[in-house]
Amino acid sequence: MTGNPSYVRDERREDAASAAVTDLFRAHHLELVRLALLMTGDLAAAEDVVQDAFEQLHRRWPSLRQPGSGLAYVRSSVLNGCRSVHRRARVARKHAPRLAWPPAAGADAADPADAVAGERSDLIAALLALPRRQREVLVLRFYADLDVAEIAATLRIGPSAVRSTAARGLDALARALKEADR
Amino acid sequence: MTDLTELEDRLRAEMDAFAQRANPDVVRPLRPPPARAARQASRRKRRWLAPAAAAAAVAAVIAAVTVAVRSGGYRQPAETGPLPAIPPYYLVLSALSSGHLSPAVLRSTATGEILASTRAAPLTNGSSTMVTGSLDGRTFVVLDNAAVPDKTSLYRVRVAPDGRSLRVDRLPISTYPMEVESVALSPDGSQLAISERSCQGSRCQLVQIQVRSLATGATRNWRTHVYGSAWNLSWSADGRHIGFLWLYALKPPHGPVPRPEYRQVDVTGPGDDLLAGTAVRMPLDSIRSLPPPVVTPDGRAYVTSSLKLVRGRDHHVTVTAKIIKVSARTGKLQRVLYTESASGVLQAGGRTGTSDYQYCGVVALDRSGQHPLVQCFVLGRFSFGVVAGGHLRRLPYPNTSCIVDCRGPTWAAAAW
Repeated sequence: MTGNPSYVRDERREDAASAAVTDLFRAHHLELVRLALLMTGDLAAAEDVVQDAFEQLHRRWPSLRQPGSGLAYVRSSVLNGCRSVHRRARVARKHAPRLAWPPAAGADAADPADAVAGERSDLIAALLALPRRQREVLVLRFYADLDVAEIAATLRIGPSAVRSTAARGLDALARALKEADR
Repeated sequence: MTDLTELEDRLRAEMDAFAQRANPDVVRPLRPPPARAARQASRRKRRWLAPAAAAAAVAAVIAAVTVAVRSGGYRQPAETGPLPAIPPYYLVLSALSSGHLSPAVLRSTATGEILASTRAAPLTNGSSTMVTGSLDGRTFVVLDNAAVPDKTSLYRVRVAPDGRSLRVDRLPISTYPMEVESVALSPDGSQLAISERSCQGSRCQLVQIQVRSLATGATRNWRTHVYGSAWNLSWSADGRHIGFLWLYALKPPHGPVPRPEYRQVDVTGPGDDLLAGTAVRMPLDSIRSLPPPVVTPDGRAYVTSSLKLVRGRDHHVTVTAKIIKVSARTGKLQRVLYTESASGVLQAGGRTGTSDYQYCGVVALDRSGQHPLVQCFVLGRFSFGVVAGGHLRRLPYPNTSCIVDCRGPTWAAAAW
C-alpha cells in the first residue's frame, strides 16, 4: 500500500490553505477593514464583515480556481457583507418607529452609518448617501485604486457599466456638494 | 476615468482620511492560524483517530484561523493550539420543590456525559444560589446565599486532573454585613468578584464589587453610593474587565427610573468608582427579562439576549428570543448569534407560563467569545446548550420548566 491516508492529505491541504489565508490576512486585513468602513460608515460593522469574509475565504480556499484570486474573492465577500449590513439597517429603520420606548439619539441608532454622523465631511456624507452600486464603484476606484477591469471583475458587471456608474456617482457627488455649499 | 479632476483628487484625499479611522490601534485584532509546532503536536495526537475524527479536527483548525465560527454545527475544539476554547466541563446544581438539594454534577461539555458528582450538595440554604466557573473548567465557586446575610457561604469545587472526581471546600470569606448579589470567578480561577450591598432596613448605603484573591485574601473594591444593584458579574477572558448589569433603585426627581444599564469596570488598577466606566442602556426588548450581559473577551461588547412577545388573535402569542452581541461603547446591536421562537397560548398556571416567565439568557461565554452557554424557556420549551454557528447544541440539564405541582426539579444553576 503506497501513499498517505486521505485524512493526512486533507491535513496537508488544510495547512496550505491556512498559510495562504494567513499571508493574505496579514497583508490586506487593515486595508479591507478600511474599505468596509467606507462602505458602511461603521467600524464595528466593518470589522465583522471582514472577519466573516476571511472565514468564508478559508472555507472556500480549496475550490478557488486560481490561487492568486484570493484577494479578489475576499474583496467581493467584503462588499457583499457590506450590502447585508445596509439591508439589516433598512429593516431596523423600518421597525424603529414602532418602539414604545423611544431610544435616545445616537445611543441606539438603527443605521450603522448614523454612528459617525456629524463626524464626517460633506463629501463623505454624500458618498455614504449614494446608491450602493455607485458608492462601491467610487470606493474601489478612488480608494482601492482598482482599474476598470478589476472593478468589473469584483462587482461582476461589465466595464462599460463601471464607467457609466462612476460617472453618475461623481456627478451626484458634485451636485450634493453644490447643494451643501449653498 | 483616468482623467483626474479636482473632485476626484478631493475624493481620494477625504476617503483616505476617513479610512484612517480604522488604524491598527483601534481595529480589533483577528487571530491568525496557530503556530506550526502546536498544529503538529495536535496532529500527532490525532494520528490514531479514524479519518472522520481527523476531518473534525481540521474543521476545528479552520475555526482558529477565522476566530469566529459562524456557520455549520457545533464543533469540539482541538485540545492544543490557540483555538477558541470551550471549557471541557460544566457544573450543575438543582433543587426539588420539596426543598431537597441535589449533589453538584459535573458533565462533559462535549458529550453531556456525567463525569463526577459531589457526595452531598455543596450548599445548605439554596434559597438564592449561583455557580461560576473558571475558563479552564477546572474550578467552580458556588454561592450559597440566604435571606439572612450572616448565613451566606461560598464553596469552591475543584475538578481532579482526570475530570472524574470533585473536591469541595468552603472558602474562608465572610461577606457579612454585606448582602451578596452575584459572584464571578476570574478566567484563571485565582480571583473572585463579589457584588454586594450594605443595607439597613429598606435603605442601602453602599454598593460595591469586591475583587478578592483566593490565594492571599487581598481585596480591591469598586464602590458607589448611588442607590442600585450590580447584578450578573462576568469577567472578560483576558481578566481585565468585569461586566455587570446595573439597576437603578430610585427615581430621579423628575421622570421615571432610568433604564437598566450594562456597565464594566477595569480591574487592572486599584479600586475606583463603580460607576466611572462607560454605560450603555439595556436593549428595549430585554427590559422584561433583565438578561445578564456577559462581557466579551476583549471587553468591547456584551453577549446578552432580547425577548419579544407579539400578541396575535385568540390569545396566541409569538415569543422570539435572541442571543445578541451589543457594543459596550454604544449599546448598538452588532450581531444576532442565535434565535429561538415559538407560538402558542400563555397559561398562568400551566407549563407555558405567563409572559413574565419567558426567558432566554447567557450563562457564560467561552474564551473565544463566540460560543455562549445559554438557557431558554420559551412557551414551555426548555433548552440549554452551547450556541455555535447560529445553532444550539443541546446539553443535558435539569428540566425546570415545571411551574406548579412539580415533581421534578424546580430550580437549577450551571456554569463552566
